[in-house]
Amino acid sequence: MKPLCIVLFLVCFGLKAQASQKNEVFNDSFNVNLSLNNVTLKNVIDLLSKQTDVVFSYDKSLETRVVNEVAVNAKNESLNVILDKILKGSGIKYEIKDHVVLLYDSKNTKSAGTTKSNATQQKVRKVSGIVKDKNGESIIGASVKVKGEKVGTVTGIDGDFSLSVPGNATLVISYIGYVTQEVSIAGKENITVTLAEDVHSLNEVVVTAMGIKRQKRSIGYSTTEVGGDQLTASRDLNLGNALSGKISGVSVAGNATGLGGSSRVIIRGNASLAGNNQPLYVIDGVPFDNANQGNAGTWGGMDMGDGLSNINPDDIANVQVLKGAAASALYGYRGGNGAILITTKSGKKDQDGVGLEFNNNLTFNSIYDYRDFQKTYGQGTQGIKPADQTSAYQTYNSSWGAKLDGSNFVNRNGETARYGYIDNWKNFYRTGVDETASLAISGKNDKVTYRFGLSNTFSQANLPNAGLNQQGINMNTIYDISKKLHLTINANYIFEHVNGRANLSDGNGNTNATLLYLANGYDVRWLKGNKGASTDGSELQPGNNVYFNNPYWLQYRKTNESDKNRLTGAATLRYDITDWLYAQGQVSRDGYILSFKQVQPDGAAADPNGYIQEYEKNFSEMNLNYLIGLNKKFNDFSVNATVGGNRQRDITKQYGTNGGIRPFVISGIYSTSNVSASTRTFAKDYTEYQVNSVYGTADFGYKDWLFLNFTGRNDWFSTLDPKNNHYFYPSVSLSWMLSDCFKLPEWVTTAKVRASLASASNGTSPYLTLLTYTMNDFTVQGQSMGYINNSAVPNAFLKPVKISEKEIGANASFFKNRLGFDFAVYEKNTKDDIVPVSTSQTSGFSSAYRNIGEIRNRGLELMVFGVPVSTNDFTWNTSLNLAYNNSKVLYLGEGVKSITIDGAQSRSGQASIRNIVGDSYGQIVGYKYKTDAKGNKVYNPDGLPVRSDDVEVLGDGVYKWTGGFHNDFTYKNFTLSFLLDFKLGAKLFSGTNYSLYSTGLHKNTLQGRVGGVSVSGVDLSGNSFSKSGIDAQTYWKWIADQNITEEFVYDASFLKLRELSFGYNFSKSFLASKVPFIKGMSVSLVGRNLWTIVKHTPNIDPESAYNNSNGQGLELNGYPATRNVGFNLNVKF
Amino acid sequence: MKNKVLYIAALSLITTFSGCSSFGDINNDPEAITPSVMDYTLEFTNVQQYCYGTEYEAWRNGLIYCSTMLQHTASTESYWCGDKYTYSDGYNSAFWDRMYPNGIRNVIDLMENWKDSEKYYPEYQMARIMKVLLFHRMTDMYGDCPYSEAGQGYYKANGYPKYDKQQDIYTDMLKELKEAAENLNGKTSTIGSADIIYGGDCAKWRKFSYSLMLRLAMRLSKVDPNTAKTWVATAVSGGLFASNDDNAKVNHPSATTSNNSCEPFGKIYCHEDPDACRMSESFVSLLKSTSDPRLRLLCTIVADPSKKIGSGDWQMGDTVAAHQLGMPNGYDETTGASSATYLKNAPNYPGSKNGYSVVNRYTYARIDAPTFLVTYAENQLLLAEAAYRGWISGSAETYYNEGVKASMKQFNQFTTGLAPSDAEISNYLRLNPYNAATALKQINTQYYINTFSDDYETFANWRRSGYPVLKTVNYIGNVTSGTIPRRFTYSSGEASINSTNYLEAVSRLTGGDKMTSRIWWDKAE
Repeated sequence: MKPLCIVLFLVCFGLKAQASQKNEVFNDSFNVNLSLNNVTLKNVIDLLSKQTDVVFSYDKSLETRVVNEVAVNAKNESLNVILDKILKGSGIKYEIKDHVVLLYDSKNTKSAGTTKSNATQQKVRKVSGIVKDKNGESIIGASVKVKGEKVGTVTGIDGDFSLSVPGNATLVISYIGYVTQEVSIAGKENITVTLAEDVHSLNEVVVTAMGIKRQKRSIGYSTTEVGGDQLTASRDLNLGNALSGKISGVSVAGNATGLGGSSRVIIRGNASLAGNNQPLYVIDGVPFDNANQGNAGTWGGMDMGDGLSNINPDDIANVQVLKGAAASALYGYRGGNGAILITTKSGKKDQDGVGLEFNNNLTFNSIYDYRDFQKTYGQGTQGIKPADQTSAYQTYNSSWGAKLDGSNFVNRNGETARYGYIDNWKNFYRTGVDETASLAISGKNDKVTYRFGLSNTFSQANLPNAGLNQQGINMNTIYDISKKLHLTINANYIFEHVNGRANLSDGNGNTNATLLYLANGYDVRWLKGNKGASTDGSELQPGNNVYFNNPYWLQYRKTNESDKNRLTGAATLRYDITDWLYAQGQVSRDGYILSFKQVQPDGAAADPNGYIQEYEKNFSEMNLNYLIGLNKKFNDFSVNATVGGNRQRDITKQYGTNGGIRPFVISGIYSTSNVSASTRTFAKDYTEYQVNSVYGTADFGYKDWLFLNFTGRNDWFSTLDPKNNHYFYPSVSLSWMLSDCFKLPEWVTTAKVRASLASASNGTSPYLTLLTYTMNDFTVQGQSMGYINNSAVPNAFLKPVKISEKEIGANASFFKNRLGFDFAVYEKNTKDDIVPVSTSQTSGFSSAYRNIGEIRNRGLELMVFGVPVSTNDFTWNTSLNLAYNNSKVLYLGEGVKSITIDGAQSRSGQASIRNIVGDSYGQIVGYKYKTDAKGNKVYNPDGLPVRSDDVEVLGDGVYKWTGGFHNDFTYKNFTLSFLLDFKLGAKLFSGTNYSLYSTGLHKNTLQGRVGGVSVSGVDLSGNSFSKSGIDAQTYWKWIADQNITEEFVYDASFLKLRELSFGYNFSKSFLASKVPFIKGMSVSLVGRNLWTIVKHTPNIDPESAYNNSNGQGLELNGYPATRNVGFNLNVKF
Repeated sequence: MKNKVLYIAALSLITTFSGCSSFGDINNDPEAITPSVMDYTLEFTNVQQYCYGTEYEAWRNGLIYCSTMLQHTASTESYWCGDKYTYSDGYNSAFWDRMYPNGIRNVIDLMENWKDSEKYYPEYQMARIMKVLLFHRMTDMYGDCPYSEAGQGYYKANGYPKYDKQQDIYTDMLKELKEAAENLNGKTSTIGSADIIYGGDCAKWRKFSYSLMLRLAMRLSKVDPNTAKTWVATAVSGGLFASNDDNAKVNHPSATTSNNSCEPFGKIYCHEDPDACRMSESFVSLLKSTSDPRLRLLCTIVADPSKKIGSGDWQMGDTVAAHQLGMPNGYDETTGASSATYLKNAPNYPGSKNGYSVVNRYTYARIDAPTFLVTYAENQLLLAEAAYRGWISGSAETYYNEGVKASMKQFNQFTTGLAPSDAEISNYLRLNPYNAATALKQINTQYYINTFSDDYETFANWRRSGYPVLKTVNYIGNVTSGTIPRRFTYSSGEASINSTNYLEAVSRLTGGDKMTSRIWWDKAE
């Protein structure tokens, strides 16, 4: 292998390079204590680097040079004395140039930066310059070399360098973590070089499970990092949604649930048939509960948000995604769905003084109107517009009237109104606003490195009288108690207030539903009344259906509020026993209090007595974690091992009214104490469980190019019977750096293959093993009554779920990281999945939990990246990620062919989401058109289509293909980046389109309004049949009323311009001259969800699930999608 | 320092290891009651709650179907399916859906816990009687049904019970009643007020058991008269109710509409669905034509029946007998003036739907009305029929007269003093004397009147006896070809979830799982 002349910087411990004068450090004296025998130069340098602040620069070929008998015990010695001693007789010479020690072979007279090349006889001249990153931060210690020569230097504390070079030389500038850049200096004496970040380098250290840091090169499984800066510009209030399209194999389901809603992040498919399929989230080592606090189902409800809606992206340093079981095996039962490790920003070790950073993000969210309704025919029925008030009241959502001709008609209020099209959305929705201001203070002194982040988010919803307010405090402090004892304290506190969460799905209480289906020409403003009430104080109903509500009443009178206080934090004490052995203990707690209050005033159409519902939920998880870590090298071998234990305890308590309670004693006073005493019922829920674990990991390395990693974890669950309550999760992974092992062509920069095998699990809920009783909330003759509480048969024989995964992959980069790829294929098998099997209710129970489910996920992931252009002024970074996952349900128990996913049943249209043996996860099932063998539709004698005899599979509810295409352009101080996000291979049942058929708003219903609908097919006996003149209203409503589900199932594939940002970084020199107190400043124009380039779902966004449950593929009356456009300002002081 | 840290670390690991698999009581929900601390008398009361029922099945099977099919009431609402014999699978299976996972599951659990208990020996016998009460309704409505394996999802891990033949169920139920009654002989119960039927009176429970036995025995009169006769004799010799004081009933003092503390039928009449039904023309005519003093206690005419109890404008209405008018079954308010079934075209249409009588609000349309499970009046009427058939000694007429009298006096159990006077009763019997030639019709018509608001029983006895003879309706969309249904269909989930057992049971039904198929004891004559 051709020796690469690289510059290696050992900055492990304290590159205390804050000194303002160059060379100053070398005037210092040092304390060095070494006693070595027969070691390599690299070993010596490693040790020296730890004991001193010296930076070395040397040819890599010298690394293995043996240094004989080093025994130095220097106190207050100069560097020269120490180096002389160490290098004596090694054949290595040194030179101290600027603040770097250059080492070179004594036979080779070349000395970087001083001796000109023999090969060039050109005139030598001096060039100086500055190297910085795209944010304008200077890069210290970057290598600056003359191309084709061994002449070079490194940059200083301000990123500056100066070098004597041949006249027309090209400089090669490189630095770990950045893309190497070549700059021609012809005619220049002073240059400024901006290095682009290289996110694909294998020399970086990444965080793996349990917070263990490892070099990328040693990792034998797939893991992807997303930098915090990728989450801040075109941000989403929910961190989960912000990950969409960024990581191959990570599928984010966009929900149409409105402000403060949740997200659904699935890595490598759904591995659990009925349980949790979302990954484990860990923030700064603290497991973070991401449970959805409530969602909409078949009969409506609201999305109460999840954990990811409470994280301020400005505080995130990076997000590390551990995709496979091998990556997350150390998390045991929690690792079955992968893990997402979030690291928040901390103070920088090399920071000078106190730093202040301010970020402001302001976006305006306008409705992305996907409606394509018919606007020709208006309110009424059978082609006739309402003749009187009664008729108008009854046809409130019936657009089967006459042609909208601008004539007069009588409206719902009995007034004469114009019979013409009105856009009720424009008249009701407003522009949403998201405004986040973040301020961070960071700094350090001898003992403490700290960062405090403060943030305030204000959101105004598109629906009036609804909004969100979130304040966050993030703290990260490292206290070096002594050189060996370090205390890290981090905490993340969030206060969130949301008022007016939107009701979704079913029409009852759903403002969006009313705005969707009000008949053409029916002006929503007619319903204003007194905040939606008529003069007697009761709801001014749009029509004669108590469940079709007045949107003003819903927004201004029916109220809901939630407050969440959340504190997530940990204290970690680490003791470095020796330089290769440490012990660490951590106490962490994640907890929140969520309080919720909902009031339906008396007088509501659907609830004449009104109701009040209030509860407070209190969640906490405590983890005690201790480990001992070892990191040692023996010549060619290295060992990196950890053993530890963890005790997790989760407690959830919820207190409140037993659902909505009523009636109010005094009308208009909405407090629980104003509810009649006999019906003022109280409910409390409590769950508690504990998991005890021991774990260990050992990473063996050989010559830094072969790594074998073993992990093992054993979990004991309180939720299972003690006889079978434990499970062991082993994993093994291999990483082989081909590019370091073999001599590969020069254009191959790195090449690595990897393979892994692992097992993991999924949690079980508490209280499934024991029969329990509860009491009625009423008495008869004063007598209390008790009954069995379980709806599922308790099963004392439950055991942990088994998930196993095989993965192989490769990553490589070429042409000095200008092009590369990362590839993985995997197979994940779930066995003994805990599934609620339907039982005959005559057994007393509707289901029984059994360890019977089996499902397999297979897939591949590919990420290709490139830096097509990298010049000093212009850089183009691009990456494309693509993933395919297909699952197959293998077994659901003896004789069981399918199970309906809990709650995944459409409100109307008979669609349900089922897991079916032999099919992939989450099939949309419903009725089809009945056809004969040749596919002709069967019609009844009236010419109306007949539906299939039984429900059939209509398509996948889960996308098979996901991906994203990201591009980043930097030109001088300008940056432009965009992200295309796409998903393919899933279908969606649209309840909205179903309702648009009934209400006559769907464009298809225009067919036959004049002259009737014509059909041809076969009759019930199979003879050919045709008929025309079928009444359009009858025909189109029939399709909905007959629940011909198939008609409303669409291809949900899409391609979207998800993110766009265009920014400007003010140059340091500009700032220094104009506003010297500002160290950095950037402004950008940001946009999110700007353009849906391809979609196939009429009238709706294909991403409009009304909840984040396992049953994906159903849509109904979701919150309208928005386009978000705004500004981001970042200032550093 | 170094060593200390190592020791602490090692110790921590060891502690973790040693305590790993033991978690104490964590997996016992502290908000739930575990079997070890459960007071099963609470479950006993809960089973009694299901004996009187909940609004769910009372509304659907009880009123929407039975009461309108049997023409106690009539409704123009399209979802009141029984009026016109239309089909709703969920309403058909409401009793099934509600009872198996609740009343039946709990009575099985209760018996499992008390089967070997000395302390609760008498109460175990009472539980057996309650189990029979729940199951005889079940099998009378659906025919063959899970019985021997029902409710055993937990104790026998049987999620898919087989369907027992009705004959076998009856055989076992009669045996159970006999054993329970015998075992109660001379016993004293400690259950006290947790028994909301009899307050733990074992003697009354014995009579209840034999009275229920009499009902079950007479049920077999068509299909197996010999067995019927034998069990009637057993019941009589065991000791039946001696007066209305012995009636098996549940009182609902201080009931509230927000839960199931109410008399379930009463709650629907006066709160849940007060405007949905009217008294049936058939029933009101029957009472009117016989000058029945119960007419004023069963009917009332209210200006606006849609007003709910507790709403402030709740009205008791006009109970004058002569003013009462029944609404004919089989009419609607949607088909329009040209339709024969349009209510306004009905004979004697009073000009407004509110001109028809609704259920009387002093008696049955009360949330605190008593729920009658088995009554003295029913006993006497069944004895009258048994005597008429010669199965027991005694005069059928005497039993009949006593039955009618008891039925009238039963109204005192709503409010003392409400019942017709002795003179009114004598007058009624004088006008409608027992006549051996029409004995079965008379006896069973009285049974029909007495079981108002216990329409599961009305339906069963009508199928058994054929009385009263009701004129049928043949409305468009009905699923019985215009005949009054003879059973309810099984719960829709059974076909897919418990298909083998379901199909086996259906194969025994002539005509399949239909409302027109007849159950075993409902032998076509």
